[in-house]
Amino acid sequence: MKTKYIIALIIGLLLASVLPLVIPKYYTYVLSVTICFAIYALGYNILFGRTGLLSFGHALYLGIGAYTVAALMRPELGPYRIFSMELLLLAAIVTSAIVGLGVGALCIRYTRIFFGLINLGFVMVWHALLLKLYHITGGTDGLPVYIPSTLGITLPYETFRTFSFYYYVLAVFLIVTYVMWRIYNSPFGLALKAIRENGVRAEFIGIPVGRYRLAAYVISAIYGGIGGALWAPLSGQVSPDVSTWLTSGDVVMMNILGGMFNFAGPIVGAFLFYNLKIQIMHFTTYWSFILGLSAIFFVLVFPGGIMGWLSTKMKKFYGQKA
Amino acid sequence: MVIDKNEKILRTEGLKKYFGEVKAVDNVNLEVSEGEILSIIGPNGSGKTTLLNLISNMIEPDSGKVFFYGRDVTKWAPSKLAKMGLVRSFQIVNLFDGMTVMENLKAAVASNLGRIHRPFSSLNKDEEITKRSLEILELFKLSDKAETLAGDVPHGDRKVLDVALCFALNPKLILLDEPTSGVSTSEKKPVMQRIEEAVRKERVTAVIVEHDMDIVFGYSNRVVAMHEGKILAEGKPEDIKENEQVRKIVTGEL
Ligand SMILES: Nc1ncnc2c1ncn2[C@@H]1O[C@H](COP(=O)(O)OP(=O)(O)OP(=O)(O)O)[C@@H](O)[C@H]1O
Ligand SMILES: [Mg+2]
Repeated sequence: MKTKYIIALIIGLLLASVLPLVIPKYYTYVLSVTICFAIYALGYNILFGRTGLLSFGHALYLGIGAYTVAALMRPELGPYRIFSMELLLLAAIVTSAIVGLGVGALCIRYTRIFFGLINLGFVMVWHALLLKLYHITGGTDGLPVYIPSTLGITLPYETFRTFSFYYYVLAVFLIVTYVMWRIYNSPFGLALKAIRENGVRAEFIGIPVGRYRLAAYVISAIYGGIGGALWAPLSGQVSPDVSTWLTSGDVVMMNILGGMFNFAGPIVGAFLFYNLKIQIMHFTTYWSFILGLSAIFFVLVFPGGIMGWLSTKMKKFYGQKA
Repeated sequence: MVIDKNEKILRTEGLKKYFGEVKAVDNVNLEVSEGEILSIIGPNGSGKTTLLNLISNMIEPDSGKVFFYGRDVTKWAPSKLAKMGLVRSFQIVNLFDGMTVMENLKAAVASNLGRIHRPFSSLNKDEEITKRSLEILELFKLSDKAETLAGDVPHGDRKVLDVALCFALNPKLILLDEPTSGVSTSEKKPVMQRIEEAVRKERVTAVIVEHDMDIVFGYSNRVVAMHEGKILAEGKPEDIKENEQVRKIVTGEL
């Protein structure tokens, strides 16, 4: 089984590397954005699918990451402007972790719907702040984002968004996915699952449930921050639209569509959801109607998400061991 | 924690919990000595579960204190109590249903070994966690169910797993709340045997709540009978069995 995974991984990597050479430029850009959302969704799922906490406000962290990058690039900073993507990522990780720690400490006292709604409250407050503090945030227009340097190299402007940055995003994606994989398969990952299954009993077998919920929350916040930070240079502009209840809802959809109880579920879900969304947006202004209908269709046909459905099929095919 | 062997492993002082008018636990002073098996009996609603809930800090007492090896642990979080060796099982099965039986045990074992916080080490490659979990599986005769979801095994095995989780924590004192409740009459004895064997083998002190007198008398060193939140009588199993008042109230004999 293990060699099969490795072969699949190598084929996948090769495919991902040559793809930008064969598909239209625009799609390379779309693919890069999709990967940013995949990171966001993957992080969200350690909270949602793994720990059993449903947040309706996670785009807060997408925004924190994106605005951190834009803010550190502002011309007003003069010689202190930061263009190194690695430093910008680090800054986004720090800000999202700090905000995640603060907001999380308040939210994790609650579970279920209350947890979801408090998070929604926070993203709404943040959205309002982005609009109102326009001298810092640029208000509705937001802030411009310039081309960062990657590993100390400033790549040509013309092909940055449609070609070269894709590889950077892909590399970060692979790293954070690997890290998440390790977390899922660690004792800590099992503890989070135990908390999801039965928070009361988890406490009675010696797991400090509150602290672990907070840890999961902060991890998911950091992943949101990384997704937002990578997305900002791709978009060239950050605006309050990135942190709304809609973008918060999107990530829930991605997880449900892809399968929240499967490691790859959120990644598959992000690809499916985002690409479905832009395809539908292309040919009709009623895109949200169609998207809603297709979401309902998917949830009814694949209640465990695409990956949940696939993995039960695989198990039937390979026998219980798969 | 420094353990003072001169102190009782467990002592409660004036524990009290009222639910409105109901005096669920009413001024209970209980002492448990290291190594003994103490049974608590009493009719439905006499406050047995509530007493365990207070000791394990599932709920807070209105007043009174709990001492573990002489230390006041009344306000300790259950997770901290578990780490110190005071653990409990549940009358109504309380498991991680969506995890396999093995995963259930691994979570408890990893917690006990102080490794549950490790975010990057591989769970499956941790031989110590696996070994200890397999031991517990075998001790409770659950080996053939290892890969089954806890939610899918028969009720008797679920009750046993609930207790097994406690043993996976390597406890000093274990509180068992009706470990055979809901188990069919024919299964009660074998289930209890599995548990009793484990208690002796792992040399833990046990407090076992049961309302079926017959099941407890065989193996307890001491019996406490409760009624309306109070301790009605306590003593050797034989004496409690002969106690008129207990017979009337607990078994309903006239
Ligand atoms: N959370 C609660 N709220 C209100 N009343 C409660 C609560 N928990 C217990 N009680 C009441 O307290 C009394 C003692 O209940 P408890 O569950 O401790 O009894 P028990 O001896 O365990 O009974 P059983 O043998 O049925 O398990 C009962 O009258 C019960 O109805
Ligand atoms: Mg009870």
